[in-house]
Amino acid sequence: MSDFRPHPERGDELLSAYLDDDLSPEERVAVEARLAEDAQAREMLHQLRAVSQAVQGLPQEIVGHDLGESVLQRV
Amino acid sequence: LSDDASLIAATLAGDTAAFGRLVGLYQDRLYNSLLRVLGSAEDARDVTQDAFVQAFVKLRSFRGSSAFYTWLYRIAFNLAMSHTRRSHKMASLEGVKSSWGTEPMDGQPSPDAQYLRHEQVELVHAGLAALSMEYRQILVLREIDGCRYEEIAEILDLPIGTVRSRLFRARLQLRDYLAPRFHVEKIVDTR
Repeated sequence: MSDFRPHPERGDELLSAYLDDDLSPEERVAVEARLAEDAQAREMLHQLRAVSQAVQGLPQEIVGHDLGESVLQRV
Repeated sequence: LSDDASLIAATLAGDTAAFGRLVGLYQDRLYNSLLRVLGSAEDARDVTQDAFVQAFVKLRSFRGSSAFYTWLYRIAFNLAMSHTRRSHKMASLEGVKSSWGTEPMDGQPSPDAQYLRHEQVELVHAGLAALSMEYRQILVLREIDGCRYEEIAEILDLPIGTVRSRLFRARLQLRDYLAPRFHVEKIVDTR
């Protein structure tokens, strides 16, 4: 299997992309193999997921009025 | 034709009210993202409006090879970057606090919002504000808008590899901000 981890940060970047389901099939296999044997990698993935969920949990804000009219007045 | 394509075609044919409907479709999504990027409700409203005005002016250059919102976001995020450079302002919590409690929209990526305590929300927002604009933008596009890497690359005009590495570093910086102030486990446990 090819090595997708030339240095530690690159390997952790792949964990971040794994979280986003944005890996090639080969990269996914390599990341899952690493997660199976590396507790630090599992902890990093857990932390990245927590941060991701924290931002996703911010409330959705709305403008509160229709901007269409004011936009059309300016064009 | 999609709704977007029909409205764009109608606008280009002279029906400006059709563009008003496009504004209605995207204004809240764009405003919410810009609020997290700029940190101020007033700035977010201004840049949202400016983005739609610029989109109207440039509409003939929209080729339809990407989604309308991707194209709109590219305009809006460029304006947000210019706005920040011009005003030399750091993102602030002020404008956001005043608007908390507004009605959540349906169909958004996370159901967590209603369960997170305000202090947690404040902390996460403050963590975003402490990041560089580049890191804030990429986190907002991924976590709040749910954009895929290809879309982020298009909006921010970056290679995919840079999207991947920048997003990772942004998450690490936010983790480092949050960790001493709030145990990240608690954020997960609120789900």
